[in-house]
Amino acid sequence: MNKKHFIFLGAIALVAVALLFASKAWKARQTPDAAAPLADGAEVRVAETVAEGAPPDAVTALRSAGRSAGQSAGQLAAAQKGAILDSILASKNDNDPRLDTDFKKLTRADKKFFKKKYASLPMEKRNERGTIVFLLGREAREAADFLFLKDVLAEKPCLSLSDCTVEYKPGDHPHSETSIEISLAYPQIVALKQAARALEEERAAGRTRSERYQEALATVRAGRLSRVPVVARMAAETDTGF
Amino acid sequence: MKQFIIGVAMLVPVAGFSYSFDKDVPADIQKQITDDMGFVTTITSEKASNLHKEIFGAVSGTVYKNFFEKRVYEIGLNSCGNANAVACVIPMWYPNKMWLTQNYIKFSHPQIARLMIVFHEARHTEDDFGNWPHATCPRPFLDANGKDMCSIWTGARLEGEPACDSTPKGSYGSSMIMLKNISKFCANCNEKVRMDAGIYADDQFGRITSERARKQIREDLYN
Repeated sequence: MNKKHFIFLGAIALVAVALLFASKAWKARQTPDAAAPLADGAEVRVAETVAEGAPPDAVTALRSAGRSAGQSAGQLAAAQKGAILDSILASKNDNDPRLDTDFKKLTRADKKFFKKKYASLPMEKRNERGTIVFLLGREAREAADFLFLKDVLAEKPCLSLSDCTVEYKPGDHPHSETSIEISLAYPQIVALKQAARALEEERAAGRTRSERYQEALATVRAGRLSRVPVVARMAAETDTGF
Repeated sequence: MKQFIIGVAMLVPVAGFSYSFDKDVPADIQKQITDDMGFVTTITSEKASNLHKEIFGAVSGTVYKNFFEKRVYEIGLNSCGNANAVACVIPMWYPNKMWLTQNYIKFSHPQIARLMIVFHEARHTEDDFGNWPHATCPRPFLDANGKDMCSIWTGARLEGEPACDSTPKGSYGSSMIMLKNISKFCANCNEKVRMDAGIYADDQFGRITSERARKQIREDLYN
């Protein structure tokens, strides 16, 4: 064996060692401690993995790892959905197809999870809050679901996109401010749209005496009392149509 | 062989838009508009309204990409002279340059609202049509319920401001027609995007003040 052979074998050995380390590092990153409780960080890790299309066995491992003692399957599903939503919101890709596939037939546990998530978001996260209202509003079936929409409609106005508590200072040129009032009221407008959608669905099915129809109508009427003029106006227009 | 591989690699087409960014445009703003425009290029539909066909052509990602690329060659960073602005063009300074502000990523607008704003501004780059100047909003400028039209709920009235359009083809009209078509016809948009497109389009429709233009748009998209 000459000097060239030694160099060649040495290079192969180095590559093999590097691959071994990379493989271990990847596994360590992808597989959380199985005994760890489902903390916020764990949810995010699940989201990243699911979003990146990890191998099915890795996802299964994460799912079992994410379950803490006493946590039901329903709660786990809610946490997983929450993690997927986190990844979608972080991407700022509103056209993520999972919004149409992964958040339907929400359980009560899911809904509770997302209401909590909504409450935890800063007021200035208008699109993020509105996205949660969209998902919960689409699934609104019973009184508790519509109560959430009414609560959203009753929120204090967000006064500016940079700080909801600070009064918006109109600029010199309204041309540059197009659509701001819609973004400021976005969660409320979405709540109203989803209530209107429930009304239309019930009416189309000839169920105008159903609990869902009555709750949705009450939600739209609650919107008329909104302290946000654009929402009150839209609610009045919607109410007129029913 | 090595040279051949390098040669082939250099011929691989680069997907994306042809505009360039100024060096001072932060990477996160570049990424966000690149992602937003990336979404637009994916749009497909088999239908389009007549006004949309006149202004853009089909409801199609390729059509929107071409529309934008023919109008915007460069993207820079600017305050646009307004703390609430997201984007602007300054045609007398550079007709085919769009300026984004930090608000492009700071404010939490839905994605479709960001796109509406950049397509609105892209329309203003068109020298051939005097940059599609806005019309002065009438005095009084009232909504369907007889209330003052305001740019914001804190009370700034739009009456007398250059913040309206008297044609369906101006910046407000063209961007609302684009959004309303996405809302009605986009085949691969999810429910949220279609809902958002409808919300913002309906709002922008309020900025069209000529009754003739409103009638044209109603017949085209609201029947």
